[in-house]
Amino acid sequence: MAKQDLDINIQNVTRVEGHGNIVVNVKNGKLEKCDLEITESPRLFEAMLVGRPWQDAVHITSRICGICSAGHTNASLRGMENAIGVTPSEQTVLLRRLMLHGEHLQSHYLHVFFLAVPDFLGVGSVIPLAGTHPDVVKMALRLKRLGNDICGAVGGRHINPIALRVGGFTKLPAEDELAQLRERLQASLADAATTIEVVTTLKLPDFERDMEFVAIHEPGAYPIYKGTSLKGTKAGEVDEQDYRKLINEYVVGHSHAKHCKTDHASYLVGSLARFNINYEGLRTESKGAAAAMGLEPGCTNSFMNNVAQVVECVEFTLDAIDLIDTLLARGINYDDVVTAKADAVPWQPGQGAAAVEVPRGTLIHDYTVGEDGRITAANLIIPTNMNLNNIEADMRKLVPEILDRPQPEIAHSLEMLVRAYDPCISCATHLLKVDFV
Amino acid sequence: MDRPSPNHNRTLVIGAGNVLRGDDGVGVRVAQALAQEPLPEGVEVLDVGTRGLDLLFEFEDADRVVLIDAAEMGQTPGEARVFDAALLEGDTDIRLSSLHGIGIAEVLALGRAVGVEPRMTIVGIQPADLRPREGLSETLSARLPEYVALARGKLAAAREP
Repeated sequence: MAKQDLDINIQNVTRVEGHGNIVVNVKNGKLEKCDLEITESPRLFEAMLVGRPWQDAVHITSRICGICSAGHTNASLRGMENAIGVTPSEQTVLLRRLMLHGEHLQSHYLHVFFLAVPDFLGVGSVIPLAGTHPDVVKMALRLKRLGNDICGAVGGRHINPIALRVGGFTKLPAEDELAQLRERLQASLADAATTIEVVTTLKLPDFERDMEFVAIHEPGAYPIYKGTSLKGTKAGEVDEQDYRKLINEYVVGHSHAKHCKTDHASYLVGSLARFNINYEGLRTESKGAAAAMGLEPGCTNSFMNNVAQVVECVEFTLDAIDLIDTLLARGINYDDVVTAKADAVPWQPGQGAAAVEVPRGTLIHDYTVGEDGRITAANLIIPTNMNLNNIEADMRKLVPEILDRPQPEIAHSLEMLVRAYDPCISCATHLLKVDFV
Repeated sequence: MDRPSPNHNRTLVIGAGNVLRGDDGVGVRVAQALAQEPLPEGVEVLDVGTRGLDLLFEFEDADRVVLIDAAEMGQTPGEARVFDAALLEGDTDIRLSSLHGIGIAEVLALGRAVGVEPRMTIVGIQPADLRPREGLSETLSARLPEYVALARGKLAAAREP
């Protein structure tokens, strides 16, 4: 390898305030600095929760992220229900699982078509893609909208859903609305097949790194709402209530976000982790999609996260269809609702946690509620915080391997790597920028 | 779905921003206040929070949009300005590392690329304090009725053919 210097500083790669800078320095062929600087502080939200009535947690946390709103909602509801001893009905759980599928579908399809495909087709971004491949962009938007509409039907409205509460729903979807969604889900399988064809043509970088994966797990299933354990491929399995035995959070100097590691090292959460840990629980069709795209269980190439997302699109579409079939066969029980009143469900003080799989990986909400019904402690661990450490470990291995390439190519590879994880910088402001002239 | 079909004479009032980041949430607060008022037929108020691309689907179903949002305009904190969407600074070449980078400027750029272009008026409000907390700064909080009235006025103007 040529001994060379490299100075990469990709500012604001995310372009929302909140940063996400990639900083890499190489001197005389030696990697001196390799950081992903992220200002992301769920700790601020934890502080906001303390002192609030337990009923407020779901409303506050569902606002943390505009993309993972249903994920935060479900993690918050399950975490709180575990804390205060509430058990939701079977119908409630079926509907929550359906909503979570909707969120995964809209996020995954968007990730693949908006972040990954433009890179591989060499068109730079999704805007020129709309010019060169309008059908692909329209399909991506159609798939995204289907996911949104599932969330909207279950959540009571399309944006910032309001029907989900601790203990159940305040409003239930109409059966014919579910039947319509089922038809659209069925029809979307053709788009899923097209997506697989598109992804099969993409040449993903050859990059392997021995790493740990973490996801919720249930033997013979592919859980996202609830597992029987939280599993690390090296660290082993723990009950979700004991997540701290598996995950260590710590603070690093260059980033406002907390980083995470298991006792072993950094780890990856997200589609690739779920695929590797719960492969046996996938449907035959989903396994077939994986094989068609060259993804095998045990894969340690982070770039393949995009491919695992497409596998999950097949799995979650089929599972959503099955969930709707189950709901319609049972018939929706419209008496199974909770009111929006504060004392709608019996509760007791206590502490509890929940680990839910959201598009970017495992999301943990942990609450303690006092005798007066107020939150005394909250701990939220978001997937991006878990992945940060792993992204940097990937960068540290990748940079020396491609150091002989031109600097723009190295920078682009690093951006692609970060894009494969789609880091969430949820607490950022979303200010418009205007320059009056 | 329960949406008006495209070309329906639909005016959308959108409040955008992160309500957990102080004044960044001012657009949402204005929208919430407007939603409490009687509104003309065909007008819908939406609190979109920090949603990005989802706005495109809303634009698709609307022919006029009044958007209220915190904006860095180089003005005195609390000042409100009305401007055209063309003034928005946004990279039309969206090179994203994260889907969380899709803001309103990017949605408008993509909308142009796929032929979704509602008539849009933006009410921008210069924030005073963006530190993480719920609720607005005193400066903006005191002027909230003014912003609501301004948005209401623009709404009436947007309804004119």
